[in-house]
Amino acid sequence: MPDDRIISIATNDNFWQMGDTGPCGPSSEIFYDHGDHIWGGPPGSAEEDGDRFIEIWNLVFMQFDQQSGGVRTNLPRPSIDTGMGLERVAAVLQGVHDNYDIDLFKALIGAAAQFTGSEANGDGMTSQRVIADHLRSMSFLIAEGVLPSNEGRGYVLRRIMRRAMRHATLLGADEQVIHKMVPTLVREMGQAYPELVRGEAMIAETVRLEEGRFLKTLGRGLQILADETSSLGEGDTLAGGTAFKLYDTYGFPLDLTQDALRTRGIAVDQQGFNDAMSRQKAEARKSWSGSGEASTDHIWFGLADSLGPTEFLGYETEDAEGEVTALINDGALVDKLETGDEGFVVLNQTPFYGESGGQVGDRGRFAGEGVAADVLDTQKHHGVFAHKVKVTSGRLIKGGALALQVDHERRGAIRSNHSATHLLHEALRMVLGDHVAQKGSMVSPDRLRFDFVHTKAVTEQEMAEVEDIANAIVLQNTPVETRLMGVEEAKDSGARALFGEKYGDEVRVVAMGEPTGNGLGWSVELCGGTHVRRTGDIGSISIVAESAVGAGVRRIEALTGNAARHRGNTNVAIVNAAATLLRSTGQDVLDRIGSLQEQLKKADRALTEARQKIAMGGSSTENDDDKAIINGVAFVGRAVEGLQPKDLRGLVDQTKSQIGSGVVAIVGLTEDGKAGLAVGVTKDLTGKYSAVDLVRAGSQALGGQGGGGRPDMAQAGGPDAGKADEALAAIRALL
Amino acid sequence: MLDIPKGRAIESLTNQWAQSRRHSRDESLVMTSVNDIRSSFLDYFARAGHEPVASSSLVPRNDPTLMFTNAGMVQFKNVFTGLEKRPYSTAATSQKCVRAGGKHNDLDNVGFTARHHTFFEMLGNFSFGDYFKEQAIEPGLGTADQRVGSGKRSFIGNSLPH
Repeated sequence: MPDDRIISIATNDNFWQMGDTGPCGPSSEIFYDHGDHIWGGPPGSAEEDGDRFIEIWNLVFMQFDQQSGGVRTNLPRPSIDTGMGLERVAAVLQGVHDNYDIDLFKALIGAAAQFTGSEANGDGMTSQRVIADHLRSMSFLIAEGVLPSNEGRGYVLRRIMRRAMRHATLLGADEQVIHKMVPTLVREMGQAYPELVRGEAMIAETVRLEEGRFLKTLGRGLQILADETSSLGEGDTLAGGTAFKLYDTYGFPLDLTQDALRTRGIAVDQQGFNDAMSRQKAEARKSWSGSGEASTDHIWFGLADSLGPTEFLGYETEDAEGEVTALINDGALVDKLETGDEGFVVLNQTPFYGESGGQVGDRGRFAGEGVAADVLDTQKHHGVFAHKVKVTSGRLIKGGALALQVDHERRGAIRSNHSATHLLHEALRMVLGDHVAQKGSMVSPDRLRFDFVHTKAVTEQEMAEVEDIANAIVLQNTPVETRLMGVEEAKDSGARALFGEKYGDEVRVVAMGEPTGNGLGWSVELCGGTHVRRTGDIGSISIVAESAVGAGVRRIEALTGNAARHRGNTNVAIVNAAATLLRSTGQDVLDRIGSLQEQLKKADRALTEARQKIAMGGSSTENDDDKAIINGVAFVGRAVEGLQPKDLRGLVDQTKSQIGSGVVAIVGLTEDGKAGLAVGVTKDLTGKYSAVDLVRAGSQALGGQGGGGRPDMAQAGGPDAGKADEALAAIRALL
Repeated sequence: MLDIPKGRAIESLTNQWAQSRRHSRDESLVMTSVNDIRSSFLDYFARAGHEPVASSSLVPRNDPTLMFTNAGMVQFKNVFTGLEKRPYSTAATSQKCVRAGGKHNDLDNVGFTARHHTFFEMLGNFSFGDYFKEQAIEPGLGTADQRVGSGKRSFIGNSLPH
């Protein structure tokens, strides 16, 4: 190559880095000259912005690592990074001078022209190109789980989508058309990027819904824009307040307004736009401070205001990197957390789920250069994710980068339990009726709890039915699909929402199971939680408890996956151990317990009889050892061990009839060292002695008080079984 | 398997592309489609000993400062710095890129130039401490001058010390 074709360029223009930090190095850029019929000059010339000289290949000689704070270190080994824009190379190889003339874009521009009813590459060429380009970025981003929103990546996506939509209306479209172009893109690029094929339906629907939302306000917004700029001409500036009103009320991103005015040479007052935005935030803060929340919440509200909501990556990934944007220790903002400190960490983005909607917060680990921390819990305050950490080594500093790793196993169990909650909810409704509404929910890694409206206990049979239905959906193993929708659209589509719950403009709608009608799925709920990829990931669902938690509210608790399996295994182990003890097999264990209970009853009866016989002194009157005649009255006094008070009376009656005339006193000594006493007097003697008087004397000797009954039969007790002989002697003394 | 020296693969590849283009001119039939270019690029580098690696996600998993993946090297950031080890020392990718926010933002140019996109694909070959300057640049010059740009002038913008 001749030297005159090599241009040396100032280092900062020919030094490549992907961002403010990271590996980087000097580069050689190779340009292709499309010919002098196209306007433009070689790099470094005044006309370099033209389309004649196109950079097609960049070779970067990776030698350095740019770190934050301006430090640049050498890479361990010099390396090579090259980049060649596929579309630019294709233009060269296909002999065209414009990326938008290559085969791929011909197809996409054709679709844009067809669905907007415009002529391809005619007057609407610019708009068609914008649509073709934006169709690609929006589709790939949605396929990766980015959804249009008002924050972070979601807002970039929304800007891209709305810009494409405005250009569709410029081409004459007055309804939702861009979603119709998705199949063309999938046909062109799906083979190389199968995520487009997998996500086709979801992409088209997300685009259609966003088009619906935007078209509602687009016409009115454009009218206002036209009115406000009717008196403006080239070189004029639109007031920032008007641009903000278009943004706030009509959903016009600032760059869309700028884009709309660009062809007329009208600028937008960006400072005025930013001021209006700040004023609105200040208003929001003022109205909030009146609500009297706890003082620590002020920190979080302040962070929400200054940092904006934390971007949540956890629907798509459980590992990511984040930058520390704030640290909190002991209720105050700090610059660092030392080893051993416990505090809160706020990051610009996180895969950690902050507790909400009944789902507990994630745990896991942070690691950075020379620092490691355990994440004990994650909470969400006004959109800011607060990671509760304990620093295990080194020092956490504000501004530092951290590798963020969610405890995968724990999160996996939480996902399963959350998805199972949705399935049980729908199954309960099918079995018990439409009145079943969610009253509360708790999703932890160990188990799930679901409270719902129902006035009576759920029977065992109903519960088995609910479990069967939910497990049938698990076995379908269909993908769990998430969409972002407007609240009303979501409710119209049959999504279950919590009554009385406040939702934002847009909600995540989680659908699982094959739809029975034309719905989105078998179970469709508004939910911000994390879910399994496919229903089969749940493994199985097992309901383990049912109870009442309040008037008309029941609660079920259930296990999934390994926890359900482990519980089943534990139960089997218990049955087997019981069977071994009973010298039986698992199936016969119940019969065996039944027959053992029968045997035990019989043995109890036999034992009581035997004891009574012993108390009766062998059931004959021949044993007269304990029988005496005192003052002409026959007296039988005995102390018997193991005899319960309730058995004494029968014995006394029996003895009375045996002796015919006399006084009978029996002390029963129970196993816990107490004594019962019964005294009987035959009818012929009740005029002379009262059983009540006699029993009281005996009871006193046993350390007891009182006693009572009739003159012929009285009972009492006392705490001191050791005094049985004294008791009998005391009775004897009264005869 | 072709025996292609690693750093020279690009020369051989663009040679093939150039031929197919001539072919299409002669017979006005065959055009090198985007899909063909992408797959022949990856095939070629695979035969030159490079590991064909799938495009990484547009939302970077390994970088807190980057909004979207904007270049092929993003997924290899930690491989270059030596933090991460991979079972290969050379790789080739067709990487999905979005430049619509952050350091590289082309959103406003789309529709008004012939060459800007918010989404594009970047073909890239990478050496992690394997080959370096000479092997990488020589085929680059050859490619630009003799193959792709045959009959046209090409320029190289260069910040290397001469």
